[in-house]
Amino acid sequence: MKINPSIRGAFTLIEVVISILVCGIVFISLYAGMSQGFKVTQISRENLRATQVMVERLESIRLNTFDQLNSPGFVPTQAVNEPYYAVNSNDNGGFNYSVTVTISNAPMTTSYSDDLKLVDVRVTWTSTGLLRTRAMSTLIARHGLQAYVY
Amino acid sequence: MDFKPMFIKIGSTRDISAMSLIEIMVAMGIGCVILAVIGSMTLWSGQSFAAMANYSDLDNASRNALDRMTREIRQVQGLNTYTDNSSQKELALVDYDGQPLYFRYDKTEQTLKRVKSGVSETLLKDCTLLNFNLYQRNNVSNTFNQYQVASGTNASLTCKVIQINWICSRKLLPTDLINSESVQTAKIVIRNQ
Repeated sequence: MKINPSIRGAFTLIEVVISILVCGIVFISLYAGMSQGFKVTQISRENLRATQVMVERLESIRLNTFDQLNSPGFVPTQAVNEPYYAVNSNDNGGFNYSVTVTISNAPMTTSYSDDLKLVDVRVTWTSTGLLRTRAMSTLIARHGLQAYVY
Repeated sequence: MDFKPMFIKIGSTRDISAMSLIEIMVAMGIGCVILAVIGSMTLWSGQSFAAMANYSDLDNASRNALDRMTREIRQVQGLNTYTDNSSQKELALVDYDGQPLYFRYDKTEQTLKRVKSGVSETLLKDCTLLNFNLYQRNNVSNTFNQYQVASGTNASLTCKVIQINWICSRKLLPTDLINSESVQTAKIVIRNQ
């Protein structure tokens, strides 16, 4: 019984190099894909917290009277840091959001536009080496929602 | 009948020679590297997916709890009492229909429960940190904060804003291999107060 020598032949160097290359590409692609997935999840968590921070700001602003909104300095307009982790957390690995509130005239030319203010809340933070920004805006009327408080 | 010994001819002697020491060492080296890559990748991806699954589960419960609490606290008639002792933190509210509504955080069990009409629902498990902060309606100038409710007298009458923050966390292994955390905060204004 004669066995064909070509069947028993080992892999050539070219074959080995190509197979290692293919394996390398597969592993790197797999790693990159999963890393990207985890990164997207992390950014989604950061977005959620940013939204919560902005909603908290707007809830606070809705307690102001219209006169307080128009009073310079009553509502802080400078950037304020807000931690990612809640107060008293033992986790120190978090970062800070920079929150800026801007109050300006309503972007409309109607007879009642003087009774409206545009409040813009902007949150910025750095994640994965990129500066990220989220914003929320609302109109507050002189005789609007906050009036029920007083 | 002649019997002849059977010989199998296998090419030349070079074809049946074993691998040399160098070949074995190179093959073992490559094999070890591939095994190490596969092993570390499997371990890493397994841990990461487990952590993500934990986070997803915690976040789902947290967002559901936050949505419910926000909706219900907004429409209550007001705060009745607030208790913070060594075993629990309890927010006792008067619901929109006049019935008592409780949000009770058990520090030992690390659970947050909603209790109304004798029915108890667990809103959160694995809740390692939970804070209730009570504020009055007036804003402090040049801040986004309101004046805090003074403890004791008239707390129930002056409480307008309830700030909640909590962290739910779950470890992959008891030895703290990976910790999944879900952080939630909200400032809720009681509309009817």
